[in-house]
Amino acid sequence: MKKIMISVLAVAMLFSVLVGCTSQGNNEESTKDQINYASTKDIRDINPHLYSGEMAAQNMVFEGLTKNEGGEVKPALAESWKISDDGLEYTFHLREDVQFTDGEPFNAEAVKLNMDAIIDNSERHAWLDMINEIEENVVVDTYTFKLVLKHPYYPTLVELGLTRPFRFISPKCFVDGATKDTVSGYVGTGPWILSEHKENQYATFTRNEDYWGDKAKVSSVNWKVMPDPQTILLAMQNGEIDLLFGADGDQIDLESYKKLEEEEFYKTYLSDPIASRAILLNSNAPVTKDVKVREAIQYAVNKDNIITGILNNSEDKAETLMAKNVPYCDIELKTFSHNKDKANKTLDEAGWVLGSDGIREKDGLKCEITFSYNSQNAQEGTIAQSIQADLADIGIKMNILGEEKQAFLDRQKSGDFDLQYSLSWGTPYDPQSYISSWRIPAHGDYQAQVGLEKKAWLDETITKIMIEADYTKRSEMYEEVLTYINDQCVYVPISYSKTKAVSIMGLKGVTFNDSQYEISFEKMHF
Amino acid sequence: MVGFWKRFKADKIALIVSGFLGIVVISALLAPFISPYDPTVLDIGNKFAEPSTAHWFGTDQLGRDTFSRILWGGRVTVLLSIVTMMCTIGIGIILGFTAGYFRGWIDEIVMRICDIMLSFPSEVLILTMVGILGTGIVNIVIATVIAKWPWYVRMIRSIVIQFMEKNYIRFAKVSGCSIGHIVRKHVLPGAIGEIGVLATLDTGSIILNISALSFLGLGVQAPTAEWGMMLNEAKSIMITNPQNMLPPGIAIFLVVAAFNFLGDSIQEALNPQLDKSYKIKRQSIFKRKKEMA
Repeated sequence: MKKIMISVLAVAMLFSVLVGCTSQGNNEESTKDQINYASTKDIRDINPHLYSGEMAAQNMVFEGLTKNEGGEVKPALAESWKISDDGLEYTFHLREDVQFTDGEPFNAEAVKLNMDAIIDNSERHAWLDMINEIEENVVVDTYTFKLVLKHPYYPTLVELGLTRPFRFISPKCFVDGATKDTVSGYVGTGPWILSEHKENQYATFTRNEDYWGDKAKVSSVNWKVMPDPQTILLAMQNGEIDLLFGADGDQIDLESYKKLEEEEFYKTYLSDPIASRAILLNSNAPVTKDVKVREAIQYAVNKDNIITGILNNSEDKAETLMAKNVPYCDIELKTFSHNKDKANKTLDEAGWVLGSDGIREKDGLKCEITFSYNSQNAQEGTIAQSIQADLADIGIKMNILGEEKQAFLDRQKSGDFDLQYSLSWGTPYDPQSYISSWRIPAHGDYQAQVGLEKKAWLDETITKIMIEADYTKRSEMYEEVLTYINDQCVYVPISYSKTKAVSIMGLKGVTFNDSQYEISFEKMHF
Repeated sequence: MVGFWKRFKADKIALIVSGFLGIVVISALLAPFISPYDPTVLDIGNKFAEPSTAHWFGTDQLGRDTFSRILWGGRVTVLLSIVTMMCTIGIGIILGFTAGYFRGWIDEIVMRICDIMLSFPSEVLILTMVGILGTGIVNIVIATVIAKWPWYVRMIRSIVIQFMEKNYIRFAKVSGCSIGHIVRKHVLPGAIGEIGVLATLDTGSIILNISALSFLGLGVQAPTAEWGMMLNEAKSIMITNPQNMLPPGIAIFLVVAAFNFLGDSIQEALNPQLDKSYKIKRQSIFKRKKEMA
């Protein structure tokens, strides 16, 4: 009898808890003023002058002089600017109604302090040529700042608007007059204030009530960390999160995206093609250093299979590394369409002979290569398997190595790979910043190109492009560089990727910024 | 031995599970001949197909036939587990017999080494070994053998010591039989049964071990089919296509359960004097094993 009583009680209690939960949920629904966003990654250290933080979070808090919007450079903290005729002096007129969220005024002095702090760490920013081009930062008067360059560096305004590093943090947060090691707080001028951060759990951003521009429409954003994409999906179905946003496949895979698309409770968004998805072929590795092998791989990869079968047609097929609508990239290049016979012929001609085990061989060297990828990204693994089957068809044995992210990145930096996945950074980085980074040894692109005969020429030309003031000459040089890289088959272009977002029905105003790494939370509302 | 077979045959569970395991092993061996499709051939247009007469268990995210992959996966999972078990038992028999037979300083050395090895948790030891040797199925087998042998040496040594105490062996020793003769004619036949029980029961746990490591991405590399790896691949599409988790999951479950049942049946057939109190104990062991799995 006692037992029955207890179980009845237990059931009753459980029921009340459940009821309590649902009614609470309903209340939240009607007065929703907070966006719950889930990411596989923590925001980490969002110091705008360093690279370890999440860019989307850095973009919420910090702003630059300019911003990139709709493919153009628009004023942000600088109201207007004037460029001297020789292209060496940029005079910025700053907004006068801006202050950092700790009360510190935003003026030319603050700009200079920040710019000096960034240059102080120029080694870390080497991927961006702009750093080396800055001659001097000058305070003209309280609200006028002058940037003096060494050469007429053409992408200056675009790069000043990038998410990092040219963004401004309150001078009060500097530690010993610098920002390169650490900062004492994350205070910017942006539409959001970072109010709470619990590492690897969550971060809360509240609206900046004194924001100079259009204020954010909801009062706060809750950034929740959920390391597994499947967990995020479950959380979305349970109503714990309102928004999912991500460019690379580790936030949401396409199968899940497709499923949510079919459900009526969610709204899915797909951006315009934004970046290039490609496979890097290392020209400095034993097998792939043979340009004929690289060419054969170009012919062998069945892109249509990947696009329709794995990417569910959500991305456009890429024939060249850069899409034609990217500035300077509308040029005629040789394309390699899927052709197994041609692939086989290329290898035969190059002296790779089919062995008895079905693997080609040349001078005792087996045609065996390894594709390494970040194992977090299941979609990349699936694409790799598809390529593996394509290559097996032409007698190339490809091993797939899914590694933990850090191991993968180390491999990228040291060049210890045959094939790797490469995602260009998309607008506004393409092509100038992306190509510029080809010269930096810490990048996989550099490592993959280092075996090329004309690598020194390539780097020199890229350096020249950046400071070439004449548009026509610049275009010609871009064409030379892109043609050479294309003919050397260092990249197997797969697709032009699109940023994906999924929100619950009630969330409105979900849009994409130019940069795939930014999320414009301030425009969203319920 | 005659009594053993008689009792074994009378045990229905024993017959069912040994029949089942027989089918599994044979189909694994014959996979190249009986599997309807090549397990590595992609047919992306036909991904996530429902189970049908063409594809008994459906297809996976790359359109590969799941039934064929289960068959080929069994080759890796089950056969390699058996190989691992044989290596471990081999080392266990050699060192266990040496230590148990000679005792003295040999025993001391072997046992102290075992103590040291046993002081590490075996899972951690395996992960470390794989970390050092690199990923790959062969390395997993090596790591598992290294991590498990001390336990077998210890068990087999204690079995051997039990026998050495027996009067007929003392008699054989006194009457001047050679070591080889005593081991072969008197100790081994008695001990082999118990060793068999040990081996069968533990094959299940080794299967789990190998699958778990493959699940973590440390074992076989794509495109080779392996049950743990199939589970891992299905994991990333768990919510959209949960049916892909079932075939490898059920396969592992059934085979491991079968090995456990078989081990118990062999033990029972060997020692009919085991009374009910033992049976109760056995059931509780079972529960624990299930919880662990």
